Amino acid sequence: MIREIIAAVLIGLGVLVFILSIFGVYRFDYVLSRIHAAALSDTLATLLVFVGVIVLKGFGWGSAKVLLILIFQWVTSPVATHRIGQVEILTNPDYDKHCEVK
Amino acid sequence: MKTDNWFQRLVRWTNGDSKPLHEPQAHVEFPKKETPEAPEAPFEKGPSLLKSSAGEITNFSLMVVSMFCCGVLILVLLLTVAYLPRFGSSYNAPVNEVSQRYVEQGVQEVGATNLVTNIILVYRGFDTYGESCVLFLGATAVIMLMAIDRNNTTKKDLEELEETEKMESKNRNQIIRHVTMILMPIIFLYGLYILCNGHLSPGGGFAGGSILGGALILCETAFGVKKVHSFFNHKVYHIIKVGALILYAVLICYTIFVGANGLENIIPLGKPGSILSAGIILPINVAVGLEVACTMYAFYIYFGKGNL
Repeated sequence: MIREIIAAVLIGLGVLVFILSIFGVYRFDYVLSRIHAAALSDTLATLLVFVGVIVLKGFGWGSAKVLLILIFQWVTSPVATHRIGQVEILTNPDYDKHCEVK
Repeated sequence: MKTDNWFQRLVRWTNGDSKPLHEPQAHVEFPKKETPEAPEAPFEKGPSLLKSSAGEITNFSLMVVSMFCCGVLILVLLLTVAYLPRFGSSYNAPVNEVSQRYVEQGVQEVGATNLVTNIILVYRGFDTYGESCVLFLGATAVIMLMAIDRNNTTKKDLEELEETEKMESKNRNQIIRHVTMILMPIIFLYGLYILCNGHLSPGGGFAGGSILGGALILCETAFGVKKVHSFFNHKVYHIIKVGALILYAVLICYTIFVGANGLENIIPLGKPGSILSAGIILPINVAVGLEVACTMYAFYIYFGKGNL
């Protein structure tokens, strides 16, 4: 019972972060701000949801696979986000107008 | 500029104007880059075939013809729908005996525990062979059209390509290279696993092949064409592509010949559920997967760089 409640809270928080990040993607108007919002769902939201699933299912081979997926997501998604931002800086000559980039 | 009617707005919208309801904006002139004019090669430009003196009329008649073609296509498809068998009729495919036979005797006859693989690679193997041929022909056509050779490139093009290559190698960053170095073996291993387990679990040639092709494309983006060229060049590409298709053709011909004449099949079926089982399915899966991987990578590389 306690385990299910913990899992429900974790997954609910994850879904909340997902919703916030989708809201941010549509609300912001520039690429760099948008990927900032989108990266939120790639890392924090997947962490919360997957940890919730692991708590719900208990430790076992299924949880190990979920953990592997989480590691894979954490390795690949930030790199993709980083690359999108870099391409924007490389190709857009007047990115300074939208936000300050150091 | 005066307000145009709805039809012109529609035309502008179909041509890609993002705000068709507003007045058409003045065309923005991009400042032209001052580049030294390269000496014109003799075969650079011929007379354009598409240019016609009566451009407006040709456009209009082309529009009418395309509308007519679309109308005929829609009519044919709707008529086909009318000829489909009725829902729930006893002659339909789900009710007839073929599917029952597949489900009941598929594992004993063919040997793979994954029934879908049984059907697409053995019972309907000839059809899948056609699909592999489509992949082969598609990649060949792309190579014919996009490959860079003496007749369709000038010196200027080559210099531009080299410049982009230099730019890319300068901007290729460390993060992607390191992450690719870590992930590449894992992705290749996963693709091979899906290829070789096609007769036991969901997956098979097409899925595993796309994973392998994606891994090759990732390798190209991280390390550049030259690094990939060191292990995947023209020779390897042609050997894999033709060899896989021939292997598939020989295996499926043998199976059809033996099955049609009631002869004994010398390929052992093995124990259902183990890796080395199911007769011809494992080599066929590997052949299809290699074919798909080569096709994906060839599409990517020829559309981008024009050379393998």
